[in-house]
Amino acid sequence: MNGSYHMFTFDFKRRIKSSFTYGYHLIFPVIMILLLGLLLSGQFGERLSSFQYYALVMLPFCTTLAMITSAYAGKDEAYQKTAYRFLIAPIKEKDIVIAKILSCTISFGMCNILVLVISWIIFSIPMGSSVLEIILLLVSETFCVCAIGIYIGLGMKNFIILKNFLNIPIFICAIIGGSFYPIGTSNSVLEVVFHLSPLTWVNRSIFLCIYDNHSEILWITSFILLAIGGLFTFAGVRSFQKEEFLHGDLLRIQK
Amino acid sequence: MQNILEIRNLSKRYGEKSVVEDLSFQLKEGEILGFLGPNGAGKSTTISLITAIQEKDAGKILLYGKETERNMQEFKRSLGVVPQEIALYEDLSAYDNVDFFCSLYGYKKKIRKERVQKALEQVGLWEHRNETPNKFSGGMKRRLNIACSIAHTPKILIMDEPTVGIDPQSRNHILETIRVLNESGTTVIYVSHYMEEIESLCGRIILMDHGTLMEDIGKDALKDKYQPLGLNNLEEIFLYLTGTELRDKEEA
Repeated sequence: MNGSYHMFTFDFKRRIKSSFTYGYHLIFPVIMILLLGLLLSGQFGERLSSFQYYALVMLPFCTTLAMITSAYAGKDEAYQKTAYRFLIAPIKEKDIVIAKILSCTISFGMCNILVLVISWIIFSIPMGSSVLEIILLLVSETFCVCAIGIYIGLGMKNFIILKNFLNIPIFICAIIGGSFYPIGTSNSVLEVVFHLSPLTWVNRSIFLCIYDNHSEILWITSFILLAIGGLFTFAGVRSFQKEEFLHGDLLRIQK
Repeated sequence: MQNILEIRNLSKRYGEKSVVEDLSFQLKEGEILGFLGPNGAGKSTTISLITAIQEKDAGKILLYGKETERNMQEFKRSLGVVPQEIALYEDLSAYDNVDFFCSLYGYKKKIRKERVQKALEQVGLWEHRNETPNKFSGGMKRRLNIACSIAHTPKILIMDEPTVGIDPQSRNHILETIRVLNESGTTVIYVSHYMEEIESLCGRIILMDHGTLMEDIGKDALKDKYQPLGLNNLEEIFLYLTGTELRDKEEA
């Protein structure tokens, strides 16, 4: 077994034990689904309950937040002051990047699947055989945002600035993607604007797949997300800077 | 003794400023080499260049006569570095810290078990193996920092000021550990500002300042060389060669 494998398993365990993972990917989506579902109950007609709607749109939104948690994961060694030991160990830089992306994707993906299955059972979402396709889409999205998050995290020193920087576009994408309330318009310009949000594609793919038995768009969206994730993985490996990996400021962690 | 490591014409610049300039020296197998220099002398940069943390502008680094760049992974396996800054996971036990960093060198669990135990015993922390470093004293953290760097049994150990800010007992234990490691075949580069440590540990001394090599000489030969000038100990020689001017600016 090589060092890269150990690094991946170690990082995976750290992600699973991290309060960030539970907070952002288990507790937060459940609270949001319950809260919004309750506040807007009865407003989605007979075919769809508010709980079903928010279970389906909150998961892609909370998956997007993995960009922040994975950016933090990218800085973990710098904050813990252990990055030096990784750089002097016989591990290739690409293995550090890939191990981090994979550990984040798998741990956050597992949380997403757990919330999806719980929602499916509790809120009786009519997913049927589409469940595997939805899981594929969520895993693709998780991989994509983790690759972007690690790429950004490894390139920036201050997590607080990074978090504030990422929060704004994520929430704008969520609003125009229908994560908080269904969005629709007949205005073609606005329609284009809505489609600038990846959450629009993801949410529409899920609803088309479940309620219209139309999974083609879901497969295309998954493929695009995987391709973007692959591109950012490549970019993360290519642009890896030892200096950035070594140093990071986080006031909360003081050794 | 053959050369285990050879540095040839190593150079590094930050913009216009030369931080390491045409530095050459050899490390003989089995020796403890003292690496001295005031703040900003280029010691840490030299270590960063040797360990490939930073890229050199010019020069060669050879392990047993072979360029390390051609087989960097193999070179890294031969190398252990005790960083000046404590590099530990505060939420992992002492055992898990050493075990994990040893695993990065590709060793299987069975082999690691023996090596981790030996490393922790060598630094006197085996009885504290299940405790986390956040409950450790400064000296214990320093010793664990060393254990994490020696568990993979490196041929060359670079120690960057491993005794900074600790009590005399821990310091004494660390110096003893270095002697034991050296007796068992580990070649050591010892960087320190404590002259008495260098004097008691090292057979040969390299003195650097402003990125250049000022002395590369045996400890006794160094004393003999400067005795006619009325300089009777290492500290006096150090101050004579590097000056008494404060180096706060270089450090910053």
